[in-house]
Order: sequence, then structure tokens, then C-alpha cells
Amino acid sequence: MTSTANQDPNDFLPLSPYVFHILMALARGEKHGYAIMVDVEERTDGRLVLGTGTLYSAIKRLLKAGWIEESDERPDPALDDERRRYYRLTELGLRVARAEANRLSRTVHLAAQSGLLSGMAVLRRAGAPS
Amino acid sequence: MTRDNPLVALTWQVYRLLLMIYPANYRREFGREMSLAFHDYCRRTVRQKGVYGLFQIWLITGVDLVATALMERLTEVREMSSHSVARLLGAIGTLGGLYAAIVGVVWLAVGEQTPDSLPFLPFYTIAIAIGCLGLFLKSDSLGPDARFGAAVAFIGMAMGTVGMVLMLLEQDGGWLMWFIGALLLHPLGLILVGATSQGLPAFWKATPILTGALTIALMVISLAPDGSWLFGLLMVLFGTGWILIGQMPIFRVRAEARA
Repeated sequence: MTSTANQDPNDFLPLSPYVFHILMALARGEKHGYAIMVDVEERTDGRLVLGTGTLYSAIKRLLKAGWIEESDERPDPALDDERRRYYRLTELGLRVARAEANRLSRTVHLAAQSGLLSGMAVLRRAGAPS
Repeated sequence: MTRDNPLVALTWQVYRLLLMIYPANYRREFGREMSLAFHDYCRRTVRQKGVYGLFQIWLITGVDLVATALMERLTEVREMSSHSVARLLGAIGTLGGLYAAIVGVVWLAVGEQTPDSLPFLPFYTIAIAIGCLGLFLKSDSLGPDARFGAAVAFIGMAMGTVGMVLMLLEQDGGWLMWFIGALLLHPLGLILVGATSQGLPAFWKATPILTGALTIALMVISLAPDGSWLFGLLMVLFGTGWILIGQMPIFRVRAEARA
């Protein structure tokens, strides 16, 4: 089996929006399933709602791929629910998420250059040369 | 813990029942967490949007449950069938090896091939050809050359089977087909599997190489006029080799399950 350290994260791109949002949620710290659902919904202003089936189906695949792992550490006992499992990004998962973020950033840049995004503020945000 | 709104409690109970549509392994792994997450999600939605929010949840959840349960069922069938088919084919290959070994023992005891056993001889070649298929199915993790070797071994034994049937039907070309397929292509394929496979312990790498080499020896012996006893001995060794090779797909399935 190839070591995860040698795997090129670009080989896994593009990611589905669901998977990318789950990885983004976990990039902000380890979370249990429900916390991921809430994080995704709040960050997207309710535009992306993860069903429990989609969420756990994705978690299963991400665990198998070695992009996320179950965390042994438990949060503050006052906030902890011991019935739940907490997940965190692995080193490979973080590299894949970064690669996808860079890919999307380049795509937005190209869209801005093609005049598909209006306004210089948008261009500046996308990092386009002035 | 605060008491649930009756509609939330009912929604949660229905959801827990619907989880039954997922495969049992999946439910054991994630069922409880899914149920907890759904429960919390319902409570949050009712707090924010009132009970009408539950309708919105069911619009999402209904489609989501059916689609993902179907996907998980398909995944389970695909994974299970690949493993169980490889195990079954490997077991059939082992039986073929056992049969070949028995034929060899009888051969040694009687001193020559008994005419009564002739119609049954193709069975061991069929069984071993099936065993090669099992090897092929499980050889994707051993590397492309090993997979190619397993394919060559299968084609060889399939040719050997056809050749043997043609011989029994006293058709022309049967002996040549059996010779090229079972005694040449098949062992070369086995040697390739053993020599190129990656990640196998030395014992499992050596087994197909030795069995293939023995078969080539069998080919040479079969050309000698008085090599009957030696042919029987090599048949025993060849059969024993295939008893072990037939276990390779089973070994791979177990190794993958452990990994």
C-alpha cells in the first residue's frame, strides 16, 4: 500500500461540495456529526443542508480513505456527549482540503479574468493582478 | 434533558425505524450517531422555525435516506460479492488440486491411468481454471504483472480443459491444446504470479512458482515413454501445490479484512 505521505492530494480532486464542506468544518477543529451539520449549514447561510444519510455516508468514505480519523480526545466534560464520536482531519485530509481550496481559488481567479464576476473588489478578493 | 415536543418525538421514532433500510453493518457503525444527530437537528429546527420546520426536514431526509441507503446496500453487495466470490473460486481451485493429487496417488498405486477415471479428468482442470479466476479477482492488490499472470494461468487451464474434452471425444488437436494450455501457459502464468506479486509473504510467493515449475517438469516427463510413476508423483505434487494456491484468494480476502 502507498504511504499517505507519498500520495499526491491533487489525485483526489475535484471533491464533491459535500465532502469539501465536511473537510472545511473539520479544519476548524474536531467535531461530531451533528456539529458538522450545523457548521456547514451556518457557514453557507442555509444554502447547503447536509442530511444525516449524506453526512455519515461521506464520513464512512473519508474514514476509509484516511482523510479523517476518530479522535481519542474528549472535549470539556460539561460539553461532552460520550455517546458521540468526534472526528478530526488527518494530515492527508488536510493536504487534500488545501489542494481543493487552491483549485477552487484558481477557478474563481479565471472566472474573474473572464469577466464573469463583476467589480474590482471581487477581483481583488480572488487575487487577480490589478 | 428537556422533554421533546410530541411531533419531534414522533419524527425521531419514525426516523429510527427508517434506519432499518440501511445494511446491518452500516447501522451498527453509524446508526446510533445518525439517530442522535437527527434528533438534535429536529430539536434545533423546531426551536428556530417551529413545527413546520419538521416538514422541511422530511423533504430533505426522505430523499437523503433512500438515496444513501441504496448506495450503501449496493456498496455492501459489491464488496461482499467480490470477497465471497473470490473465496468460493479459491475453494473450488483447492478442490481441483485435491482431485489432481488423488489422481496422482491412484496413478502411483495402480501404475498407470485407469480408463474408468478418464471421463472425470476434465473436472480437475475445470476446478483449477475456476481457481485461477479467483486468483485473478484477488490479484489486483498484488500488482499488474501478477494480475496478468493469473489471467494467463486461467487461459491456459481453460485451454487445457477444452483440450482434454476433445481428447475424450477423440477429436483432433485435443492433446496439443491440452499440452499448450495446461502444461505450458498455465504454469508460466503461475510462475509470473509468484515472481511478480507484491506484498505477499515468501511462502505464498514460492507456492505458485514451485507449482508452475513442477507442471513444466510434468510436461517434459509426459514426453518420456516410461515416465508413468514419475508423472504420478509430479501430479501429486502439482495437486498439492494447487491445494495451497486455491487458498491464496482466501488468504488475500482475510488479509484485506484485517487491514
